[in-house]
Amino acid sequence: MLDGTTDGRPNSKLELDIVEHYISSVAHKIQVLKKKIEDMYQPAHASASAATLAEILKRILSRFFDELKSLREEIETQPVEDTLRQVQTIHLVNSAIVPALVEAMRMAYSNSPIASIVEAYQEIANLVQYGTQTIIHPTWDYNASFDEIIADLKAMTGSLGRETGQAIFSGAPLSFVIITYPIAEQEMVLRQACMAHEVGHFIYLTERLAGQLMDRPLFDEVDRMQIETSVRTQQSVENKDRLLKEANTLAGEIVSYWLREIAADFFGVCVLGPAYLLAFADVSFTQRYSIPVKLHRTHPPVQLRKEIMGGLVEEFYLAPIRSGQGHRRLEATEERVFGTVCDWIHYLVQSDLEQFTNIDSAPDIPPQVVESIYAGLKRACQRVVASLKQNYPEHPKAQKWFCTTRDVVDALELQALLSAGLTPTQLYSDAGRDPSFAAVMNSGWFHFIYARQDYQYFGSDGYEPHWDDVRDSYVSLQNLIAKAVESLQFKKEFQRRKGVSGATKQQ
Amino acid sequence: MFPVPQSNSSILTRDEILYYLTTRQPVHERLFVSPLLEREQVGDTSVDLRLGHHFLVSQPSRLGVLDLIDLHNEGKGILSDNYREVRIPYGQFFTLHPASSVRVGTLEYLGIPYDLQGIVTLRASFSDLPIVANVAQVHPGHKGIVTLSLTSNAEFSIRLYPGARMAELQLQRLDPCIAKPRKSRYHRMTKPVSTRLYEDRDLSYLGPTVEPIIIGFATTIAAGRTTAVGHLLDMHGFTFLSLADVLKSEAIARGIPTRREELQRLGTELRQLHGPAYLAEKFRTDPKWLSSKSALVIVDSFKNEAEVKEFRKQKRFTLLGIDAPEELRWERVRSRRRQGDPETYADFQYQDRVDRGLSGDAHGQQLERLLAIADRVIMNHGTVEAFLAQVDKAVADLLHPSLTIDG
Repeated sequence: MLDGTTDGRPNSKLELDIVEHYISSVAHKIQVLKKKIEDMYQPAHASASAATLAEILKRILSRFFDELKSLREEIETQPVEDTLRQVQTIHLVNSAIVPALVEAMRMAYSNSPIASIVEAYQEIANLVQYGTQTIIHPTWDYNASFDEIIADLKAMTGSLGRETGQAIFSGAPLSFVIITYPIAEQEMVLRQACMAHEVGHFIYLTERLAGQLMDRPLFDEVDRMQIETSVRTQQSVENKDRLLKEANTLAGEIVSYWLREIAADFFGVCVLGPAYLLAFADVSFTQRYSIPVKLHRTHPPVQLRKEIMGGLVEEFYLAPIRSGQGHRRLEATEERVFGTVCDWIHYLVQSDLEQFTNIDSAPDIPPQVVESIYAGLKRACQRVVASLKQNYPEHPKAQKWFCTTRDVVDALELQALLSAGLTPTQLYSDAGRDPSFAAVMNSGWFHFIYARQDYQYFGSDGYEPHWDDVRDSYVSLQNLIAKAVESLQFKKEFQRRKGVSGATKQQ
Repeated sequence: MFPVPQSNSSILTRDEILYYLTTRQPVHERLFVSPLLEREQVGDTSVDLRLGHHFLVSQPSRLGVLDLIDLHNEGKGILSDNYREVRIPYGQFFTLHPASSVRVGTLEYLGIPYDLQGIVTLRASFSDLPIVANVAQVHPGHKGIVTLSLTSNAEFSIRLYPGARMAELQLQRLDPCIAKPRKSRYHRMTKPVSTRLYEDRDLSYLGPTVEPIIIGFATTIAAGRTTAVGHLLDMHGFTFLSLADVLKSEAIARGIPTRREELQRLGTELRQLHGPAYLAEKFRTDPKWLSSKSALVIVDSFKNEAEVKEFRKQKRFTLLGIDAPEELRWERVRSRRRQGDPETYADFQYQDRVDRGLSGDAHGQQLERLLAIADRVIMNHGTVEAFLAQVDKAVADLLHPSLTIDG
């Protein structure tokens, strides 16, 4: 039901009545659409190929959009004012398209471990903007385009939606955000930590941080001078003015793109802590999904991102735990796991330094100048992070989803359960308390890393060296994490509804 | 002689269950039930279990008969078409239609210590409903969900909701405990799975013995082997295996090119070294051959009489020879331009002579001899259609009467 208060929705009784009347007249058509979807839908079997899943989703969506376009045409021909027409369109989108997209996504991922992970991210997005549906759209790669859906949405909504980067579509008053994610990764539950980055993009937008950060003197004289000085010292360069102009243009262009990526990484670390960095590094080490390590125009070099994230992880989580500022002291076993994870993170951040100089998007600029640009941009990005750190932890919503040192210490404890082949959903030393989503994801990563380093400690129930070769064994760790997240989601919803039901009875 | 058993096994009561769940140390010796949504789930002598999200639905089957031996031979693939998995989110329902069945996992992931074992049954309240469920035994050391098989006897549909307390786990203490329990094939499952009965190895000893029909091919260069084999694979569903694969593997291992000339030389060398039937013996111990369950098999590239003798040990082996006039074969070689074929007529004649064994080497190729002892020889000097008709006739003669089943 319309509440008359939400942004972009009707704010007068008359308009509400008209819209309600209109919606009720098309309600049965929406029901017909849903029925058609159900008829078309052949549940995606767990073993269905990525191509099959993508094809299923495509068929569902294209059919839906075709039908909805005709509804849109009906709206256009109604004798109503422009404002009201827009309201109707918004309501149609939110009442028909969004459920359709959510249903299509649920169908496509229905039997995949990703289903429960998506619900967790849904909750995070909801904390930022209440009622927002997070739609994970299966694609072929992390950077895959989703132009077809965008085109359909724009045809429906005009300028209401906003495309923000390559992997996210969002914008109030539409109540959904589409995040693309490679379908081939759906079984890799631990890597789903990377999805926090895309949710980070949404937060960056919703909180209008982009504008705030861009207003700050990020491209101020310090960075410009750094570039200028480097240009001057290049004696062999003939046309310094041209070069300086090009360098500044390049730097400005790149920073404008890089900011949002760094901000999204910042949120990734805030939401999931070390697990986000570990998942990101795991993905970036995989050739197929490697994000270009050159001076890329849309994405910062992997090394820069790892450096910044590594610094955040160290400052937010590792250092406090090391100095005993966690909520309790670590047991001997957990200390060993912690040490291994710290070493691993240090290794990840330090590795592949030479990749900076592989720059092919700026071939006319001497390497020294590029190094200088890199250094300037690095400082700019660090300043973004400092700015986010300063502002964001004070955000009233932040505390609800940020990963804390307590979550990381819990994760160390939960890792022992995983090593015994159990799901990390019971905190045995503190009965009655459930772990968080961040704690579960971290425990999976910690177990993966620690068991790989010292698999003999836990015997046959721990990580076994053939896990990388035998799919079933490797999958069992992913399944345990997926099951744990599913259980947590179920328990949370159960307790919420039980609480609501109990309160109603008391009244 | 076994000692007189002195067992103190007993059903666990509520307090004992709670002790096992919350207090017992070390943690891996605890009873693990997650998520345990309410303490009330722990009853006087049992723990209530809830339905999970994942349902494995049996579908109308195209199988007329489910043969356990076929299941064993073909693995889970034979069942995959008969089930589809559905995930029902919180708040929605699964409809169990009349006279249908479904496999559903418990919401709870269990960890059973070594000194306990459990039985999962329908809760008493549900036994009043027209639903039948299997009795699932949970072994000591089990980790994972428990799969329930539910069958409806009702004349109406029943809606099942994830989270419904439908089953109960009764636990029994084992004294003495199992020192090292065997891990079940359903260990660490987080979703219901179809049966893994196909992993039962002893099934392979229990069925009737099917003696495959094997057609051995002895053909001269460009006589029409490829055409005949392609036709048989398409039309009769033969499985194709080749003695040359053994030779090629050996050549690759030695870094030798796999051209005809080099392979001829290597074949002769191997026969001299290990005996004239070496390739056939090696082939018959090859995992590819041993794992072949096909009733109709083509084995290609017979070159030596000893190889044929080795295969004559099979009950239903037939050697089929294919030949054609030399000039016609040379024309085919020239027109097909296949890699590894002789480039000149002189080369062709030389390789053909080697193949036919005109040098008289007992360890070399002996096609001339094989054509003489073949059960049937087809001369391919007419049209393709005429040639394939001859092939079909030869195979038809072999296939009738149908398979002999020794049992």
